[in-house]
Amino acid sequence: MSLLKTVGLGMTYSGAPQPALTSVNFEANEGEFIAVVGPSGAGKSTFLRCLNQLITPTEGQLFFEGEETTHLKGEPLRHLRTRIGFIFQDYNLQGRLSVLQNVLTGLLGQRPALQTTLGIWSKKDVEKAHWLLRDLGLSDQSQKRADALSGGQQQRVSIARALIQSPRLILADEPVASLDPPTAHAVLKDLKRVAKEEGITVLINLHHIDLALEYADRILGLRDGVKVWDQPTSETSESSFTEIYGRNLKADDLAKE
Amino acid sequence: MTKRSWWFWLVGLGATLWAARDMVPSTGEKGEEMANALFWGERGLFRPDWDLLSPVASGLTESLQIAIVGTTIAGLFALLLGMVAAENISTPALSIPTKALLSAIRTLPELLMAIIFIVGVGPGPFAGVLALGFHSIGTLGKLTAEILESLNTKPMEAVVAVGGRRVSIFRYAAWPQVLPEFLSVLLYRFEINIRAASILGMVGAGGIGKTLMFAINARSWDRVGTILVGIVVVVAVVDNISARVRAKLV
Amino acid sequence: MRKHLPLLTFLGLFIWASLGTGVSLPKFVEGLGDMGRFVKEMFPADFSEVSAVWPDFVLTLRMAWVSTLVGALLAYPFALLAAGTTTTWKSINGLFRLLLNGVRTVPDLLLASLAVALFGANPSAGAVALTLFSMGIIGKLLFETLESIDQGPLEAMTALGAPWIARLRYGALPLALPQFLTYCLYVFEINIRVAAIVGLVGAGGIGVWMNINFDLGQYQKVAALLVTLFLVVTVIDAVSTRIRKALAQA
Repeated sequence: MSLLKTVGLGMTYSGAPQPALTSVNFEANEGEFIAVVGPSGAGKSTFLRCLNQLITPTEGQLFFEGEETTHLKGEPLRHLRTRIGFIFQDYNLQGRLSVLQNVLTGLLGQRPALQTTLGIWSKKDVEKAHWLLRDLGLSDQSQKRADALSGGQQQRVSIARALIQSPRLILADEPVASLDPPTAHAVLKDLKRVAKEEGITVLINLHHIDLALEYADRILGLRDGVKVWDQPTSETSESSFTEIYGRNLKADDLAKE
Repeated sequence: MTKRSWWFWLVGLGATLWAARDMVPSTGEKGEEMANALFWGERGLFRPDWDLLSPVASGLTESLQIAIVGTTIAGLFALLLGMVAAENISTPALSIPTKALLSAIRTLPELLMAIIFIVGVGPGPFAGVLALGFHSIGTLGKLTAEILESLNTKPMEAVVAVGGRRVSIFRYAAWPQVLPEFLSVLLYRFEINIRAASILGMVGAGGIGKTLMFAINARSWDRVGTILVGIVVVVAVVDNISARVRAKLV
Repeated sequence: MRKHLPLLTFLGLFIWASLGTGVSLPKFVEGLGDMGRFVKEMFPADFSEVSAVWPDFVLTLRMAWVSTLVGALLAYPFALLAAGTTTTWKSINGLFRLLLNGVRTVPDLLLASLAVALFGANPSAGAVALTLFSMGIIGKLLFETLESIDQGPLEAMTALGAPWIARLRYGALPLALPQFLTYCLYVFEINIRVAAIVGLVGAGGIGVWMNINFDLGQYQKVAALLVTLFLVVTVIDAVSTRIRKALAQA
């Protein structure tokens, strides 16, 4: 069943001569793990940010769970976002708060404002946060300051923050670009495992093609803001990538273990 | 060195020498005698009058209290005005005049403010509190605005992405960054204010300054010596504690 | 409970200090009228004598300028000896850090009063006080810069067997020089404000006239002096800020 759909999605940044994204038609089904690949500047990040409207698209339509979400604002937009997890390249944690608190911030859109502002969290929420941290191998770190953790650990915290939302969809914007290759693999393995366990759809921007080939069920190729192809991983070939990168693959494009 | 920079240094040196022409200190003919009286003499600085210890202690306590209350009040107002002055939080229509107001407050000297407040609430420590509080709002407000303007927006983006409300963005993404830096700035200002509070009394605004003024006017250097020792000890202890707390904050 | 200990300690201190200083909002509100009348009395400002005392404005600026330069020159060796990166002898570090911190604990007006006692009521007394004051601030800032300096060049100097003085000249000086100039300008800005005030205790400059006019109850003339000072300070701050920005980019 279709979870997310875009029709003719386009985005032009104000003052920019060229659109960053041009009429992208795309559909994601429940439980899929989809990679978005393309060279820097291809519009991967813009695409993902349009989907939960961190950036407001300038053209086209968005559908989530069969309902149109294109023009949502204020409260309804907030509610949409509570159902979509977002993982950032630089983790975007609040470094001075504890790991546990950072995970709990994932619930800020779903719990009463007064309660969270006073720093009161239900026992159930705290237990869930602990459970997620344990599942991601961070149970000893929960009371540490988030900025005391390594990059790979911080990205796991941000995965836990997305998971505590109980999302239907997780958008991950270059989640392993700041990590070394072995850590990148470990983090992606974890992300894929929990997504499959919980039946969460994942859309993930990846710069390294070999990571996309290894983890994704399906790959979307973008170039200059245009969808070039969209096919199951098993059907992609060297020529598909030459098409979007405009040259033969180099060692740079592959993250070696 | 280029020809131009030679000129620059030459003109600078000339101007400095011209400026310094009557700045050379001289103790005159009776120099040695005066220095003796001031420093080592019977009633000199280096022979502190320990009988004065208890009034000095109470004066210093009052100065400390003035600095604590003045800095705190200034901090509260600075937080509010800083938010209004920060370009990324407020609007230009509010931010620009508030920044101008803060810099105007900064240029009014503490001693002048002390005199004005004495007219209002009478001589004593309360006038000192108001003078310090008012003057510090200028610097603290400016620094608070700068802290807010340099906020890391990434954690805020994360709270927006999970559907957080405005209040949550402030509470969980901005406040944890702002608080330690704000407290650090506040403590730094407190270090400056404890020095200021020790001379406010010279114009009648409470604290050790009053005792100091009497001692200087009476040329009782032994008493000045006692007060000097007291001020140095208090300021050094406050600096030390404050530096430790600030190091822990970051 | 332990989590709230710092907050409770602070609240306790604040209440103790508020009681000690007699802080009272009603008293302040009551005094507003008197303060308003007093400020009103200062205006319109009477500029008739400003041109007559203009040389004393220049004198104030000269005092600030010369003291900054001499203070900076004195501060440099102090900072070099206090910083662990440039001087590796621990006890020397300790001694000079103590001296730098010690100078900074003495309030500016007290320094000025002592200088007047020693050198008489003339600008040279103000210059001496301001020089020590500047030395304290520049010394501390420079010391902190030297402590955090990039160790690479210094290490290279040591590795090729350069003597101590060459290590400083080629390893530390080039790295710290731009900041040093920035600190000097910053302290110059502060010094103008202080130089305007040391006149209150007779140490020369425009403060002398403020004091005299104040004692005579000529508040409109005081206001004129303050307004002029404000303009002078604003112009110099603007110029100095520009130069500091240029230095930061260079």
